[in-house]
Amino acid sequence: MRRCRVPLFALVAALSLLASCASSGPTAASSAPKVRKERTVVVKVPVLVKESSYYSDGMLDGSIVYKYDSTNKYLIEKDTFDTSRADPMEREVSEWKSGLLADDVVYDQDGKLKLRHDYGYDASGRLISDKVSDSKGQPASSSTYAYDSAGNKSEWRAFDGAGVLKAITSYSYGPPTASGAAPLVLVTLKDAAGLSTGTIRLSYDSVGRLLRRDYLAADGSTQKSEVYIYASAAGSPVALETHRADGSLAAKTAYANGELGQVLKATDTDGSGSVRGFKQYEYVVREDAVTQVYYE
Amino acid sequence: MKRLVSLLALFVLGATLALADETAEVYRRLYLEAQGLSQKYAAALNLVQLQDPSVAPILSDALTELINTQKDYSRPSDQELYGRTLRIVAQALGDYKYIDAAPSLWDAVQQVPDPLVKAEALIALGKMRALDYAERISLLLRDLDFKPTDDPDFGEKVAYGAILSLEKLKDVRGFSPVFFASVGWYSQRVRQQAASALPNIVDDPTDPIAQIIRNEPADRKVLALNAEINSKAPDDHKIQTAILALNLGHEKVPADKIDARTFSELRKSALRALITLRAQGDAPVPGCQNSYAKGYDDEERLLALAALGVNGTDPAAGALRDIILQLNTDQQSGVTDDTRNRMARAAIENAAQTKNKLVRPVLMSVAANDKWSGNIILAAQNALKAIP
Repeated sequence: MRRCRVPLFALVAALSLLASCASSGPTAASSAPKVRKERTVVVKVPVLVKESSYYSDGMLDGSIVYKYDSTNKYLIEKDTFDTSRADPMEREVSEWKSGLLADDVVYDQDGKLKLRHDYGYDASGRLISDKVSDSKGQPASSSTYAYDSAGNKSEWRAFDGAGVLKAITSYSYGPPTASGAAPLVLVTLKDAAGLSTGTIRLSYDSVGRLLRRDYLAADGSTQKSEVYIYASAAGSPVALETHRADGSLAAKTAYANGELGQVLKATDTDGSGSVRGFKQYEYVVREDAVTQVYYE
Repeated sequence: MKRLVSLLALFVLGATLALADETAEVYRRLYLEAQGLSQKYAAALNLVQLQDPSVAPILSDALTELINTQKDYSRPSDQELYGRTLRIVAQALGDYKYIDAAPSLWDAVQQVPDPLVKAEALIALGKMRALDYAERISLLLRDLDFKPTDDPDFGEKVAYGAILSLEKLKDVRGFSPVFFASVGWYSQRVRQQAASALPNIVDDPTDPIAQIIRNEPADRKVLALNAEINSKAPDDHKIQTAILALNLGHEKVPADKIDARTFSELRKSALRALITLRAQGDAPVPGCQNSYAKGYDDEERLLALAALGVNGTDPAAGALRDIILQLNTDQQSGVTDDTRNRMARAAIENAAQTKNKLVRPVLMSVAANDKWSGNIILAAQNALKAIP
């Protein structure tokens, strides 16, 4: 599976939706019997439309333009531009079927195929397969996904182009939180024979925010860590630090967030604190009518 | 309820951020364990498509290893896949601006025979702004510019990569080779790419353009001057370059009629620049005088008069005065034709532009010379009104 289709968009959209619910939610009821009620509220959802990448001196390097369907819900094309050309250097075209991403096709600047993903889903609409083809249309790799009874992803199997199993990744979750969802706490990486090759441990703060991710080798030694920095007791991270095995800082990304929680700017620095570049994000705001359930 | 929703929001945050990174870790390990070229390619493709800068170190190591083991992939059946693997790795390293990979990318430029790999490595060096390599890339393109390579397609591809690289590097050393690429032996696509890259390489290309104007044939001088005029150089630098071109345009002896016409184009471009930029001072005046006196055609002579007019300083006004005086004297002695009349009118109107008192006496002489047509006399009278 690709790392994230529109990571910031997905993140801020989810946050915005929930934050909006929070702001319009009812207050605690009295001791009288509570009655389930519904109401429709309009929430503002920031939709990422442009990502611009800059060098440390402020010179524009390139940009990515995101295009959606008429509802601004489904990403249908992602065009990557270089500063010196009007035509995109790369186009990624997505096809959706019944609200599910069916395939992603990446083309180079000459319109030639670079890469293709074909996705499969189960009856519940959960991703169960991702087949990757190369520029020749040949299978390059594939993945399958399984889920536990609670609907959490439990396993990812990675295969090579010939269909030979290469790696198994298992996911373990902690006890459900107040929201009812179980946080991912451990990712176990295994080879094709099922032998552990390493783990990733995730830890959270008292309100369930991801604090750090530690990458451990098979022998349990730390290989690297990613640490999230928060400016306040609630809200999005303001920075992500990557530390080497010895604990020294390898890199840091600092975030500037907008009113709706969306990331407006991400600045990358190296271990010495030198800025390596930054990205700026532009959004349009979509208004969704959402049915809100509450009790009073 | 608020707390509940807040927790929900935070969980979504955590889950979203947590989702991705085992993917990079898994593919990183798969690359390390990959045996054979096809496995390496598939693993590299997986790593690259993650679009995750954290995989840059492993891609850099992969690039180094692939270059060092190049001889293992010498079979024709391997070469295409080998090139493809190197290209996707190089492109990703450029996208991630992973400067630590610059030495390996330069090794790819030098050691891998596939021109597409060379080009991709060059582009990556540009994207990461590996300025330590600007000189080397400039020299590489300069050498390609000299003459077509044995396999022109090979040279085209490498040159294209070098042009894109130098455009990104934005180093003044890259200007000249890209300029010569824009007028070189390459296909239109490469030449156009070079031409469009030129304004992006350096804001002020005055120094390299002055070198080109001094040393290159007339047609290239014209293109170089136009590049300077269209650049973001300060106006005083553009003026300085235009004066240089104008003066050289007079000094050089044309080899034939075509050369003479090209030199006149150079001078006209320079004069237009002087007019547009409202160049003042002594320096442009001799060139303008020469263009008026020995201009290739009337257009050049009229441009020279206009350049003197916008100049307006004493030397420029003095030159216009002398020109009008000569025309007036000729008129009085009966030497007249349409061209002289056109020049006289233009000289008078440009003298008015100077608003310089130096031209008043000669304008009064023209106004008082009833051998001129009414239009010329009226122009002189109007000019006198314009001068304080």
